[in-house]
Amino acid sequence: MKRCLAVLLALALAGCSSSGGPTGKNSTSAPPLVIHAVDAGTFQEDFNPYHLEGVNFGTSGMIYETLMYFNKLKPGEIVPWLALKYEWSDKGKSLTFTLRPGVKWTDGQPFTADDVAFTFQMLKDHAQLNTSALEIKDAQALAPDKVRVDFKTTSYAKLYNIAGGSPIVPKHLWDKQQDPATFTNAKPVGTGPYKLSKFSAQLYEMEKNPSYWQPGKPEVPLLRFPAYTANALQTALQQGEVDWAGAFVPDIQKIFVQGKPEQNKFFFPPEGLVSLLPNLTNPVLAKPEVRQAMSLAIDRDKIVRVAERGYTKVAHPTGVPMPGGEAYVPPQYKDAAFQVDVAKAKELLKGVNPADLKFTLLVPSPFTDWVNAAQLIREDLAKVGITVETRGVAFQDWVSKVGKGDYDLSIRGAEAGPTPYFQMRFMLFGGLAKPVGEAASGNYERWKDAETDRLIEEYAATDDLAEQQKATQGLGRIMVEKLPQLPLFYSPGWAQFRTTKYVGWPSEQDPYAMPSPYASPDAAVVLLHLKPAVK
Amino acid sequence: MKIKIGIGILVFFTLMAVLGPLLIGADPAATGDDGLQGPSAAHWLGTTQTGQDILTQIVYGARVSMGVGLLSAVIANVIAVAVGLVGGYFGGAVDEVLSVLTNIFLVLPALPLIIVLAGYLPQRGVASVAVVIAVTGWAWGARVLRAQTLSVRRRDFVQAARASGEGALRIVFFEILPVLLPVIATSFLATVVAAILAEAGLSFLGLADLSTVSWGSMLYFAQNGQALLIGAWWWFIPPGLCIALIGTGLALVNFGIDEIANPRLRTVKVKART
Amino acid sequence: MRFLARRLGFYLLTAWAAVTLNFLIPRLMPGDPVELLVARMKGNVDPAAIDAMRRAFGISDANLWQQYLDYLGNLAQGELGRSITFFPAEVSTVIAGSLPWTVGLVGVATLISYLMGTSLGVLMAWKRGTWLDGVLPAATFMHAVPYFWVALALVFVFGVTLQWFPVSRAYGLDVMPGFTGEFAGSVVYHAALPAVTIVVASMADRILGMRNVMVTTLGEDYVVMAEAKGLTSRRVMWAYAARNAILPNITSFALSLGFVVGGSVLTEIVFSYPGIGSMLLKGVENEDFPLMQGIFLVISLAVLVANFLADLAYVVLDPRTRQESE
Repeated sequence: MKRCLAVLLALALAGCSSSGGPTGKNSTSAPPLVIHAVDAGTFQEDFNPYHLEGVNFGTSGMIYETLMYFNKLKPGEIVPWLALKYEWSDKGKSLTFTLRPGVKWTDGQPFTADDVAFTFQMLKDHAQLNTSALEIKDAQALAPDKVRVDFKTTSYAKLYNIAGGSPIVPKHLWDKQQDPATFTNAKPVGTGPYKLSKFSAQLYEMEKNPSYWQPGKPEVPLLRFPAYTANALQTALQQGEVDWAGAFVPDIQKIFVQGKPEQNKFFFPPEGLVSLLPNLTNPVLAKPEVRQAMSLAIDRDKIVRVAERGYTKVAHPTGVPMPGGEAYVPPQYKDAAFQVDVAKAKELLKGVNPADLKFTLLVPSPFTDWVNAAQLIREDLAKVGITVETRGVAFQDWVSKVGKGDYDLSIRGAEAGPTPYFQMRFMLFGGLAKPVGEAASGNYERWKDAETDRLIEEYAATDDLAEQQKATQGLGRIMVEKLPQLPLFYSPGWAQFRTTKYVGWPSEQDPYAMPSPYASPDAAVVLLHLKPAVK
Repeated sequence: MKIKIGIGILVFFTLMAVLGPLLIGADPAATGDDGLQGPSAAHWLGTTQTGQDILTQIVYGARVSMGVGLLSAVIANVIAVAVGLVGGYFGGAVDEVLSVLTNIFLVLPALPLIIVLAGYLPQRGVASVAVVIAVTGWAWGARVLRAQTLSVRRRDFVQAARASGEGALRIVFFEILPVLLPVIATSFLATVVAAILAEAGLSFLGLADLSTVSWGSMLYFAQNGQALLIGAWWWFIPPGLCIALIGTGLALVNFGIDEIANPRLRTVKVKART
Repeated sequence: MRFLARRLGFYLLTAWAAVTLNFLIPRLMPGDPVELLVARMKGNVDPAAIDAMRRAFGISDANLWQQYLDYLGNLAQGELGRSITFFPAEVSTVIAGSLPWTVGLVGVATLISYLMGTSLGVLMAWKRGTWLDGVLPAATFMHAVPYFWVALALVFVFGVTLQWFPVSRAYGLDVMPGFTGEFAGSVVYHAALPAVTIVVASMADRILGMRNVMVTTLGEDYVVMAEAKGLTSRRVMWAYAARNAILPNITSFALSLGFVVGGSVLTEIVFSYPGIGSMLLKGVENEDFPLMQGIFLVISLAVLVANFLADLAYVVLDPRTRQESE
């Protein structure tokens, strides 16, 4: 209790001194942490965790919490959060949570099973909020600490979306809302470690929730979120205004590290996979030997070095993010790696009419690193007699053309998700492939393979971790052997942080959460690990 | 004097655009391992972050930037001449309709319209960027030409041609047009500058075709790579300077034409007023 | 009077054309905003939720004509709809939050540049053959320089390196907006550098334009006459020559407002200024129909109103327009 008071006092001091400037010097209290999560010129007053883009960052995680926490850097690791445990029944159509006792909303009301049931009922009643497309049949509180959610279909594979991706909102405040879809929730009340303390169009602040259920946490008393556009952020990073950012920095050594690697750190773990997409409805690209030859011709090391500035790593041939995904990689391919072999590539192309080996490579112009990668791919493929014309188009146009299958080659990323299965399903599931001309929402190369679909269904039909891993390994084998997509490199999660005020950030040695400030609820997990730097 | 400097600049850039690529021969997009090098013997103007040679890019970019400028100026002026001359000569209902059309394009805010159109272009090739710029840029010229036509129409030689039974379109394009050539030339050159600047602006906003090397896309990549913040001035300065120089060259030529048509504009020491 | 009535008719017609273009253009784009949203949100939206979201955003599948009628109907009631990017914020709220910044910064800077450019142009025409001629090549160069290129260089020198001026935002981070001296000072301080770049970049056009018209005017008989009468040269310059030379400049000023607002896109991107130009770019990037339509409408109407006012001024300043009903 005393500790609590001390923190409160410190908080009050920090609040006073902060008007003097972001770095309250000579203050004995813990300083505020300045965070940049997403580029914004100004903020709108929106703290509804179910809004996709208008919502201000930190609403999920810092204010509203989920039932479980899934660490994407350690696939398969699930941490109890608002719920202590979960249990499937009825063959994956029913999920019962046992809730953590003693949790309170920041207005003092107790958090109960009614709140959880209300949240899932709301998703069921308002389809536009249900962005994970959960097939909820019913949700009811069985006891103050027990809640059961029923689904229309087997939902094992959606555990992440249910328990890790659905922030729980307070029934006693939200059931008064006519339309939760347009509710902007200017005064958010959550269970999380922070509460909103200040809002203006250029800056909002969150202060520590003194009665948070994790005793003694968080140790960072105040979070400041200034609005920075992408451009302004670069200068801010260079001048040391920001303590924690998640941005692409063109030359990180010069702009951010500035010769102080111990103080100005960065960690870019894999967040997903970027592949070269062959349109498999093109008869030439449908030939496995052509894709094989292309894969052998592309110098991925150079792409990572030149186009990606060494910020990421060449992908594992299965496409599974590493490190972290080892258990999802087939044992025989554990040590597999891409090799450049121009002679072998030419050999493979012997039977193909050289006149057929002409393709356009469609890239979205605003993604300058991909534009550069496309240029390198063009140079590499020319060496084996494949002519590629790169074409930069508008982002909108690229989304539309790739979606409709109106391209030869393109580059596209797939989000890793809590386990590599999510990425594989997005990349390969036959159910997502649409006829050319119709917008697909995954499997843009239009891969159709019975074995692939069977493995995906096998994963979804079980909650046994070993079985799930086995199915994913099968998908990894298909990636290596049949090359439905040509993995290039991992898309990095961006995270720059300064250790001048706080330490305890995630690292390659201790990847306890995604380090990017824009990852939620991971950012809240990171904040709960931070400790003041000892001077 | 001015016109000579202007022509000198234009000849220099035209030669660069036409012959430069033949002399250099390299691929302007070709990357290398020696990124972000300052000017040296190997790379006269240094390299970009991905090791592309900036001099090569400037030379090839001249083609695209000047090409876009010329193409959109041609399109814009063809529209302007047709609308302005026809409206001015025929008058009446034809003129009313064309005037309203011109004025609509004149008061529609051009750059937002270009941005919106460019954002919607199914393909962002050089040609479509030029068309977008032209479509939003012809109205001013049309208005000027209409006013000029109105005054030329009353002159004797036009009356004479009409009396001798020449066709209306023939009078417009063979009698009136030649008289207006200086005005058209001025407006043409001004449109070239405006179009080059518009292409640069669009590229800078990431709305033009960025896989084609132009001075505008060079600036986009330089800004995207935070060239100034990391001290790579050689990446940022040349493309902007080239645009400014070519614009200055065109403007100087324009002054020259103006001064020939309107001798009062000359800056020769007429008399120093006090 | 007939002249004004005709102009009013013309402006109404133009407004209608703007509204219609504004409706049509976004609908000719490839793809749709929800597809884009899903692509941007990567794994966070399940494709199965797309339909529900389309409905929530009010994206209708009705035929174009019906949509057009609905759009006009909503406009008539002042309804601009909800932005997709900032959903569920109303477009009118987004515009209300950004327009004042643009008007304040770009409007004031343009006015300064207009006044300074016009005066300099008058002076240069008057004092031909003096050192003022040296301004001409400089003005020519500035007229041809890409605006954002100069602006970026100035930001780098005065903002980043010397740190004399802030490099982004409209006011200090910890300053709460309100009618306080602190807030006003902060706003002016943040607007200084962008305003200077606008003035420097756009003044050249004014100087060159004014000088040319002025030189022509100086040759007119009434100016020669005034000089012959022995009036002071200051009086001849301003009361006789400039007064007449300035007339065409008023129209061109009104017309240039369109370019001003357009140019604000670049200014606001370079200076991370929270105005309407950066919102427009955001709308274009996200295919946010309602937001683009709303902003475009506001810009077009503003330009039209400015032009109508310029017409009024013309009628007041130049008696000939009153008789000449065309």
